[in-house]
Amino acid sequence: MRCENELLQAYLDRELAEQKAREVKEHLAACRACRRELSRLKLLWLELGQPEAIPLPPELPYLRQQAIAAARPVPRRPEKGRPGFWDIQKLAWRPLSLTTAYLPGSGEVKELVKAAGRELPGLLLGSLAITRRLWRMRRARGKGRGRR
Amino acid sequence: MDADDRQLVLMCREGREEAYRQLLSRYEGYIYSLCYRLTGQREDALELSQEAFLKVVTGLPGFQVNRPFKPWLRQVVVNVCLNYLRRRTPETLSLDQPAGENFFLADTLAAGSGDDPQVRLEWVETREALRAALERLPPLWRLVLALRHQEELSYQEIAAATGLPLGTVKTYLFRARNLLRQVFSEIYGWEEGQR
Repeated sequence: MRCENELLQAYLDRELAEQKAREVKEHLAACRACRRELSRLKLLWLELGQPEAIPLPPELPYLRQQAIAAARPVPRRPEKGRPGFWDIQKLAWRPLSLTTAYLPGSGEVKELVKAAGRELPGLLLGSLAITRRLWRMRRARGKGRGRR
Repeated sequence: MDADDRQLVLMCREGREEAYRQLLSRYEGYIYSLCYRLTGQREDALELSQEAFLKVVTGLPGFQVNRPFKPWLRQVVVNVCLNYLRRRTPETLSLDQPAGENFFLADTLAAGSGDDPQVRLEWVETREALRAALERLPPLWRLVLALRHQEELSYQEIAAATGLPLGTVKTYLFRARNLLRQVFSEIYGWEEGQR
């Protein structure tokens, strides 16, 4: 085996296959120069492996907090199939909100109110009725589950 | 995975801000040190750390809880560092080539000081010289060195973490340590050429 610095480095890194490592070991036993080189490399390895005490800057906690706020972790939503109070409200009032979404423009609002004026109370009452019904269904389902 | 890490990760997934704070404060020193080793600059390391914090918080939902946390975290930091290097290094400067063929201690120290290098040589400490020499290495070489000697990764693991070919990892390690060895040789007055 020839004297090779690269092999000695890989030997120190424990990256040589078993057979090759054995060859290097045998070579080291016979070669004084390589033994000396190995001890020099070991010194470098020792320095490179030293845990360096890097002073931590005082800004770190602030940066950490900023990152958490920026990413804004969102809490998990309630399980599907069990709508909350506001989900029911949204569902029940959808017909009315859809109607207002189709309002043509501020100039025509007056005309529209005049035309649909008679229907408006009915629409409001209908939405309230849907809310009531959905709310009762939810309560009844809750009670049923409680009895079980 | 450390039981506490695992618990904290699960709590983070429930959106509990306190858990994010605990998890990050546990590893912020590690993250910063790794960034500092790569950049050698306080301000740059801070910028990278902040980016890494963000990536950890946003990437946590994709992390597999049954796997160890620290290697995942390290990979996040390495990716942030690599992206930063690609972004910041002008085309005239190379990520993987040293500034010169030889690495003499006097040049190394002269780069960071206005003093007469020969005067400084007399009292310079090994650690200081090593740190100065590391700063002169190309960033990718520094990264590979840090992963090998500080993180104790194998060649194969370094290749996987950095996306570099295995042969390139070996070459960078070999060349970087040869240059650092030159510095050591000057400090300790080793006689060369008698191998």
